[in-house]
Amino acid sequence: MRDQSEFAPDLSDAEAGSADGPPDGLMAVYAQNRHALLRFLCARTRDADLAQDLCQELWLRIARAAPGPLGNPRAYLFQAANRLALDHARGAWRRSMRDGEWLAGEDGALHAPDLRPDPAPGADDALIAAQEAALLARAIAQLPPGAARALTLHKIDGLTHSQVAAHMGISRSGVEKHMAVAMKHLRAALADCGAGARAASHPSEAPEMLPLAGDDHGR
Amino acid sequence: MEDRAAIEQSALCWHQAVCEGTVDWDAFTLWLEAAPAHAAAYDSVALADSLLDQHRDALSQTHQAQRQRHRWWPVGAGVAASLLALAWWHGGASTTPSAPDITQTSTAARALALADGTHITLAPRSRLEQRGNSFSVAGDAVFDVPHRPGRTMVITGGGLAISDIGTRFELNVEAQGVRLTVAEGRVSVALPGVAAPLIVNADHALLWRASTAQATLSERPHARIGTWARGELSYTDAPLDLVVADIARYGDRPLALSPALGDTHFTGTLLLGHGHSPAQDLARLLGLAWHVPAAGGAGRLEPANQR
Repeated sequence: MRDQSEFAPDLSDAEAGSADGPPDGLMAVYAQNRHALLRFLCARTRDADLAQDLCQELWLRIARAAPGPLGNPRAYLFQAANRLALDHARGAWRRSMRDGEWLAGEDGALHAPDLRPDPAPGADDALIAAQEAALLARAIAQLPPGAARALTLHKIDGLTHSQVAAHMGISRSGVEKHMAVAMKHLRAALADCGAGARAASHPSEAPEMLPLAGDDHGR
Repeated sequence: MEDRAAIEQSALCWHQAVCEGTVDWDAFTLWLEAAPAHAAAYDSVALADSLLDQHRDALSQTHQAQRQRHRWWPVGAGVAASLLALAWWHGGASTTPSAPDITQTSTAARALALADGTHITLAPRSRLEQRGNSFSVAGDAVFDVPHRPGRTMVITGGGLAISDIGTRFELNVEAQGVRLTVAEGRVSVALPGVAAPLIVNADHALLWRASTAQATLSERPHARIGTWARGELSYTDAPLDLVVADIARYGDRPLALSPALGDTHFTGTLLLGHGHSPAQDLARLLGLAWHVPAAGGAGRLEPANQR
């Protein structure tokens, strides 16, 4: 396992605030917590280079559009960093879905991606979004009844866990158990899709199924 | 060694804390660093949840459609008879208990105009009985009923009683089930075994299955009724046995359905009249085999690979 100090490079001048004097507000909080944010992103993505990139992206975002007064600016920055990591994972997931479709080919035979016409980006995104929605609908339809009910009430109808518990006549912990079952099934369904996920489906290689953000970086 | 189920449960808990804004970010970082499997488990939980959030509207629409298709009512035996009796009493109270007026059609439809402005189009091979403001239908009939305050018309068929009328609707009563399609206004329907009446609004259809005592309410935007009078039979996700019953009613020969096709549904339009064979068209559209005895008699629809 790599030493965490490996993941703590120096701040750039801009990030440290040296170009325009000492940073203030959210920028100051960022400067104070940059190493903690970078360490979090390294742990989150398991990729030092990607973590650096995402940290830089986080700084650019808050520099471009600083939000209004924040009750807990440190938590805000971690949430934003976590969101960036998730966005990157979403991108990797979509690429794996797209590549999987291409390699499989519409006729069921394998085709090299460069032998197929590149679809328009908008049409491609819409198609993948439709595929994602259909995949989720199928996965939900195959859930055990209790898990399907709890998931639908919570995630689709927008009820809180307590409201779901009252609606189903069960305890809150019962709802959480149903949700755990539902999420496990959904993750398995998602893992069955996408080229990267298929490649990672062998327990000896990557037991946790989904394509990792930036797995090809710095390894 | 930490087992996978425990890791997944922890990942769910961390994700929940992140979503609720209660997470300790330093503790979360330590947990993620503790093992590569932790970050991978969290990644997949967060990704699945974000996909659910992104597609919530699409999933909600799918779920609503399923709710519409599977809105079932249980039934209790014996209540149908009391509902029918109530319907007869309700209508009979304003009239003398004389013999009913009966209209029976053969191969041609028949239009009836009542003194109160109601128009009824009775389909071929159908029967209408009238006692005052109470009607009973077997087969198919289209009702165009002007609203008259103080008057309640009751129409029964297949165990259902329809009332509170000022509307246009089609009622189809077969042995296999009852179909009610409302084009304008709304009607109140008493279902066997259900205490409260069901309101069926315009652009909605109700399917009552006698064999299973189940009712399905579905939307029918711009509902078209009585299309058989214009030489068309239009369907949306209709059970095949009811489609076959219609073809037998409006076609030129009886038609039977293989039990193997009992769960098949059909969406589309079949044309009636000279030069058209709705049974053959249906077979082509669904990829089925249509067998017609050389000596005449009932045709039969079967799966294509049968025989």
